[in-house]
Amino acid sequence: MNGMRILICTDGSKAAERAAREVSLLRFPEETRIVLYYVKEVHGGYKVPEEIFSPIEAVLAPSFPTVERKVASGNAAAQILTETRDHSYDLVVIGDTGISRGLLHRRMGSTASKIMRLIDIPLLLVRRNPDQLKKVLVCTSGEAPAAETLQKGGFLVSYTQAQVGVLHVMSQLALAATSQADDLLDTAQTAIKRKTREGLHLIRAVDQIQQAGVSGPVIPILRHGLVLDQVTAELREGQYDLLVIGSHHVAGRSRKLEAFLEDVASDLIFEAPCSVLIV
Amino acid sequence: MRKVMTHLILFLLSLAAFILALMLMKEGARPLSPMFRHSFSVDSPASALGFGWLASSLLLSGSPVAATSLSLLDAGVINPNETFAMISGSRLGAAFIVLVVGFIYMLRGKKRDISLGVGLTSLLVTQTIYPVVMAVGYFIMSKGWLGTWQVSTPSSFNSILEVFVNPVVEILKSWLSVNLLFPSGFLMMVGSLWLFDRAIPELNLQKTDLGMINHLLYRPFVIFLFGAAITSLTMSVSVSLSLLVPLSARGFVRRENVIPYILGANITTFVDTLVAAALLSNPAAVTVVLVQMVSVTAVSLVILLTSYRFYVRTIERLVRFIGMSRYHLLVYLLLIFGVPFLLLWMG
Repeated sequence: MNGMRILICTDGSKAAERAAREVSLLRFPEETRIVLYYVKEVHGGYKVPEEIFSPIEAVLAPSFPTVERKVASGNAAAQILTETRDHSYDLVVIGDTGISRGLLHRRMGSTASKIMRLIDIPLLLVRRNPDQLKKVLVCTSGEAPAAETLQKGGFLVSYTQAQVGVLHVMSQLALAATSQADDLLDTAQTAIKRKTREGLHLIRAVDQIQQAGVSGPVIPILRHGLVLDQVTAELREGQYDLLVIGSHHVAGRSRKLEAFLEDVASDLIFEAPCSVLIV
Repeated sequence: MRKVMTHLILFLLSLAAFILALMLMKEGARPLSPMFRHSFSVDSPASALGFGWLASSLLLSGSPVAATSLSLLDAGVINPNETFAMISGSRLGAAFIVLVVGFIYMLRGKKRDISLGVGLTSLLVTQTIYPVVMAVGYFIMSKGWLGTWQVSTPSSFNSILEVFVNPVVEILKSWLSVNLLFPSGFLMMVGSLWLFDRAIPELNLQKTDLGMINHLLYRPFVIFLFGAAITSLTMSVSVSLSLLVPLSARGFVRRENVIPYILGANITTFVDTLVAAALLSNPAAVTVVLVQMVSVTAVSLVILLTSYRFYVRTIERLVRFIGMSRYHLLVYLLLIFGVPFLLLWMG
């Protein structure tokens, strides 16, 4: 894809610098258009300090000689969403400022949280920077939207040469006498060999990732248990640098309905120890 | 149309048998009081808990035991605290059926940890919440908060009872020895609930290939309400659990769905017990059942709101640990049979 456009949101914090460093690690082509976006929450003649942009430009300079600056004013989340809707971007990058634990639920910063819920394009939430992106984990649910996750996610990590693990978690328990209980003991290799539904899905997933441009090794992985626990366990055990997941949000679906639907993506974002690319 | 009529007739028959059974047990309970107190040693909440637990384990169902406890309460054989404990025991033993199903699968050559998965999960959910449920329940009962809530049958229903049921009870009383009334009623109660299971039209949730319903059922609160709603129709946790099967064309249910479903089902499984309490027109019986329902709801809501993930992981670990070896399983089985015996003996 020529002429890629990436929006890096900055508030002048260290988190924004990490976000920029992660973009460098993804090794996008030099001609990629990078836009640094700052939203001042005060109106009027406020002059944006140089420190908002210059440290980030310094991080990006070796990979991207030209970086565009953009400034807007108003509510940060709303402005970022408007910018992504009005201009065509392939990726939005924000630095994660951390998660706090509320009375009943964990909370992210309100800006990141709102963007996460409403954005329609891939979003990279940067948590920590490794020295280089060596291992990427792509989660796939086995349903139709997984194809988009594999294609878009695969493309966005395709410049890294990283090893890509394609993970599917089977969380089922047998409840009927007719259920094929052997499926619940399969590894990725046996599932592929036996051509079970999960095995066939993993074959397709590996193929889609490779078609998206990933040239490094692609490893199919099948785990059994609670989805959230198994993904985080794989991230920990495999020491992955980046997690790629599909978004909970589906364009056109009512927000009221979405409130009742599963949202593994949100849970994973909270639990993942590494950066998360939400496709 | 014919199918609907068959289901309707079966339903009316099961209802008639249920009411008749309840009345027979009510009539027959009082003379059995000494036997119940001395031979079965049910003379304290602990022994009532053990008795309810063992009885429902042997019957593979909790509902007949719960209904029996109400008729014993109505006849003055046991007090409200003992009734509460016996109903709690009936829930602890009722889930045993799913473990039996797991064993049958094992005998048929299925792998141990897979066969026992749902059964163990269901048992462990009930066994882990009930100590807290009982503590909450006894606290509510001691405060008398639900004593003013009453559910009773309308007077027109009582007239029907007098016209149709009481004459039958009188006939049976003249035929049977007084000591046989209670056991006959009990057998009829088991039979009526069996008939009721067949009276429910087969609730087949539309098969989905991991479609929208699966997504809806991932949210703990949605599946909690779903479990409560379905079980209020089927009145049996195990029957309503089996309704999850069609959601997966392959006979699997998602682990994430099972636990909140069981939590919800554990509340509305008392609907038939509540109906029995209302039929007896005994305020204390109604209170005891309401306290059970409120206590299970309160404990379930606290889990869902504050420690859902922790709870699910703990149950998962326990299921894995017990299913890990035959030795673990044997110890667990000895415990779930040993504890009620111990309660009965010590109480």
